[in-house]
Amino acid sequence: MKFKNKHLYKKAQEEMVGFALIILIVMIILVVFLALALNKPKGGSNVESYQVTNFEQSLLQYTSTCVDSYQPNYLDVTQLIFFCEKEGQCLDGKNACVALNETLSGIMKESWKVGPDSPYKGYEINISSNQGQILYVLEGNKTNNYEGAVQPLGKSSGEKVEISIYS
Amino acid sequence: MMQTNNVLYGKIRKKAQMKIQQMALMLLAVTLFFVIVGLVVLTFVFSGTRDSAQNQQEQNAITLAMKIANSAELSCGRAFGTGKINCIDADKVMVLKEQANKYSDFFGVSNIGIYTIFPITNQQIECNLGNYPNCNYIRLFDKELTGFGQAKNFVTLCRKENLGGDVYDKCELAMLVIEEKVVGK
Repeated sequence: MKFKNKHLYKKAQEEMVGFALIILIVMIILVVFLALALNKPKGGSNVESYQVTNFEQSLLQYTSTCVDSYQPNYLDVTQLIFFCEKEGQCLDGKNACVALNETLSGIMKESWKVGPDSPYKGYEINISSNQGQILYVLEGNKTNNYEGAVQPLGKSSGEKVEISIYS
Repeated sequence: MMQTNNVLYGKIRKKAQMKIQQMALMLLAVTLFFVIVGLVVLTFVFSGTRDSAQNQQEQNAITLAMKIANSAELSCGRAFGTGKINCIDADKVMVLKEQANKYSDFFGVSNIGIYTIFPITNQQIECNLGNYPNCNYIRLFDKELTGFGQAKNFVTLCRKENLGGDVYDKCELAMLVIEEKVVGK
């Protein structure tokens, strides 16, 4: 009888210890999970989509140095894109597409400074129409983290400008 | 007989104490378990709230910058043709700058700055009536921009230029920087 009681006590103690161990293990796991969840770094891009959209709209309204027919009828970027598509020539003798490339490259370089220490790792600008590509500029590296904007230029020939900023 | 009863009573007491201890430990463990689970659930709930608050702040900043850029006091309107979006009239801003004291509470912000991004200049030159338009930074109110509580937006900065008596529209790429008022300042 004495032996049976002692055996029962031991069994009960073992069950209690087992139960306490399970609770302890589950709590440790949950605490670790809680710590990880609280310390999760803020993800996301260094660029917001609204920034790229606003940039693109402002870019298309920029007054270039190209004059198509008479002074001082300077073309804005939108008009210069159409002029380039028609293989036009600026009044100073420069090819319209060269002027467009220089203007866009200069603006992109100053607006989105790309580099290893910069939040921006690269940018891409692609101007195309139904007939094909008009201009393509890529600087830096493409990453999986990017924001972009597309602006159709409103003509039936389907000209559009796509800009992507990689961070 | 009495001794047997005492021993039996003692055993029953020990057994009861053991059961009470078991129950107490179990209750404690279960309570702790549910507290931890509750904390985990709250973490999930509040992390969503934090993200929402950050998104709301960003939306407020975007809205404020666009509202000011498109306000009648600063925007291009029809002066530079129709269809210009996010366009600020630099000539208007320079005139407004002279009367800025009267507008200090109108916009509801601490300060407004406009920086020309392109074309590039070597140094930052603040605009005043003496050097305009050969400058690249317009500060609307007299106090310096502190760098805190800023909302930024790309804008088109346009002005009328004169070339040999012919007036034309010149539009540049700029950054509109708005500093919000800090409570207590």
